[in-house]
Amino acid sequence: MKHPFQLILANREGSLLFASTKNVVQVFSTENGQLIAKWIDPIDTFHTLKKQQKEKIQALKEKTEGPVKIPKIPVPGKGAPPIFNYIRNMHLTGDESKLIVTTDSDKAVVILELNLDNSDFESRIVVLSRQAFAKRPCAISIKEDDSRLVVADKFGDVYDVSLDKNFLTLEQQAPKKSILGHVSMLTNVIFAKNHIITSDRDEHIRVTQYPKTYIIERYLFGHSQFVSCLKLCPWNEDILISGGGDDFINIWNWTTGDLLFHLDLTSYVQPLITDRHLAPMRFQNKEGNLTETNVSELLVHDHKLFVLIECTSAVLIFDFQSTDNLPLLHVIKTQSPVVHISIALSKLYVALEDYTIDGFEIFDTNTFQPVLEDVSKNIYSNSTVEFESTTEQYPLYHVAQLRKRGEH
Amino acid sequence: MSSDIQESKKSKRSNTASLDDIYISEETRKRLLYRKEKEQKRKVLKHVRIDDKELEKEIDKGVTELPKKRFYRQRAHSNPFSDHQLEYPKSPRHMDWARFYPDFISKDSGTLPTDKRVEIADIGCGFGGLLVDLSPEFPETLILGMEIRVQVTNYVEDKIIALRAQHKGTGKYSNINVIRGNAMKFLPNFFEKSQLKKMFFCFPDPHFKQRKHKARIITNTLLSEYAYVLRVGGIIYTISDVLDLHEWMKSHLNEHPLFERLTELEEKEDKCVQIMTHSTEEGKKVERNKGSKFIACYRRIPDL
Repeated sequence: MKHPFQLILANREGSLLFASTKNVVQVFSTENGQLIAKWIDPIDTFHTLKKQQKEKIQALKEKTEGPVKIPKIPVPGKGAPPIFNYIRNMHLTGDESKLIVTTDSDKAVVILELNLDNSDFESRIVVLSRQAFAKRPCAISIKEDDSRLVVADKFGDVYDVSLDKNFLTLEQQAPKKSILGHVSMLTNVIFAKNHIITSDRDEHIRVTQYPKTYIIERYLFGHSQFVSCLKLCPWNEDILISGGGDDFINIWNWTTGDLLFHLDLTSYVQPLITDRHLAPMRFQNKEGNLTETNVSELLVHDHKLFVLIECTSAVLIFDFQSTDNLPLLHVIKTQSPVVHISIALSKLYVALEDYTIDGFEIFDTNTFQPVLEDVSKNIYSNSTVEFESTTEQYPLYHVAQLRKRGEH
Repeated sequence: MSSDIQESKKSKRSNTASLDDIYISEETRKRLLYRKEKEQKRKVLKHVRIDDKELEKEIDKGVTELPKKRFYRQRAHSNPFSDHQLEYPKSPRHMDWARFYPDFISKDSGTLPTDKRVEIADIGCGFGGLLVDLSPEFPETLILGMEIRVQVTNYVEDKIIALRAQHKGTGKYSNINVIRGNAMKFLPNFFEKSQLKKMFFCFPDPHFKQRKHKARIITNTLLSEYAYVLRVGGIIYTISDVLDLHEWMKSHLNEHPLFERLTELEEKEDKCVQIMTHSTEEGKKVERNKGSKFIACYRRIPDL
């Protein structure tokens, strides 16, 4: 069976599609659907366990004279949760010469150099740098001039990394000192002119000066649930769009702190809800019909806002001509749930939860009709990542688990 | 002590007759009854003016007596990273501060005057000793304790109610209150930018294990949040009996660009330093044990 694309990214002119599939990055041509490059994360499944073993041996050697008995690598027993080496986050540098990804396998930021014209298939993607962090990177952002990269982790810290060519060729450890931090898990980080905007699981959106990151400028209060999506408006970068566990999207002037518009999604989301949106049993109401929905992706393009509600078979499209009101323009319906979306020029690329041949579709962003259907099918059929049993499939939806459940 | 806890747990699983469960020790039964009575009084009295005539029948001997600390004990540590069922406002303007300082409500508007905002915060206020001693020194200033442990917070609430009741008609202790809150996560949800004049960190948890240093109350990144809520010229007061923690706090404050150390003379002459050295439960305990107390105070300077 074909494994669905977990994450997709189109380049600026839409000639390439990058797809994260299990622990593989695949690059397809959107001209004919051919697979033109591939990178498989070489870190093995037991990397973390082996690292722990090595640390244990080191500790034993320090306090024991003579040879030490080598501790066994604990083999996960039956019923142990499976290990998924996701490739999360995919970002292209401004000059599109590099793809930057994060890996769960060793909690690293990997910088991949793209040489897609190389005649040798194996040399089209080369690892320039791999920096492992203490905590799993949750989000990254590349500075507009491609000089710096910021990395936000699940512990709430943000690190600053140089992207200078000379720096990248050195064997560098990840930076030890964070430039700013929250106390709860970070969900997003973006560079915005002379500032960094961060969001976390505790509903915060924070605007911090950069590079003087010790100065917090303001907070954008208004969300009641985790914030998972932050997007700057490309035609007016004072405008920030945020969404997450709430059934609304907020549109801000982040430079002043003003909330420009509160886009209530309730009526648009209601028809899209399925049994898969039911809250877990332990948190259900008496009737057992409590549902929870999450914004899993926001795209801002051509004065339109594209909204993906997690695990729905639809993409909501709003008219974004002004910030006074965002009327619904259209709802694209799909045959199966949408996993991820990306946009380039006038094409919306849609990764679907499908296991045969229909796991990818392309829509026109003006007519909202499907286009290039043969290319779509070629792309999915040319994907080399397959699986045979359900235990090998990677979970496709992660935003819902950000929701807090009260402890005590 | 652990057997008390076990019995307490057992009683929670029993039916409503649990207070008659023969396995509960007399001390546990006494504690549970005491807590229940206190909770009922707290509900009525914690957000209202003690002087209100309609409340006269509520002010009995049990209320005016200071609460007994031994009935509020709980394990010392509380994990600030957990998702507690703590309430916190969506933003500072969603806070109804009038409920905490009802004596300061303006007769005209029925709300707090706009210039009456919390200006002094005791982060991790423990059993509230500093709040009580600061109150008469700054009678027109609103002072807030923030404490994450539920029983300790309840104790402070009961103590404030008792003090207000003891001084009925004078308005004393109306300027202090306590909130159960996680200051590490939600300080900016409670306070506007540049709102505070003073922040106290008295005998914070040292978190001795290296991997827990992220949990310390003074870190580079948390200091940026404290600088956000403190006005320029506002002061952070720190005191500890653990030298390592004291050095940690000093080094982090020294290297943060928005803070400068008060001079020795300034620290010596600041009456808040005197108050905080002697008023907290930990401070008194250290005194009894003839331990050292290490103090460091820092001023918020303008953005560079």
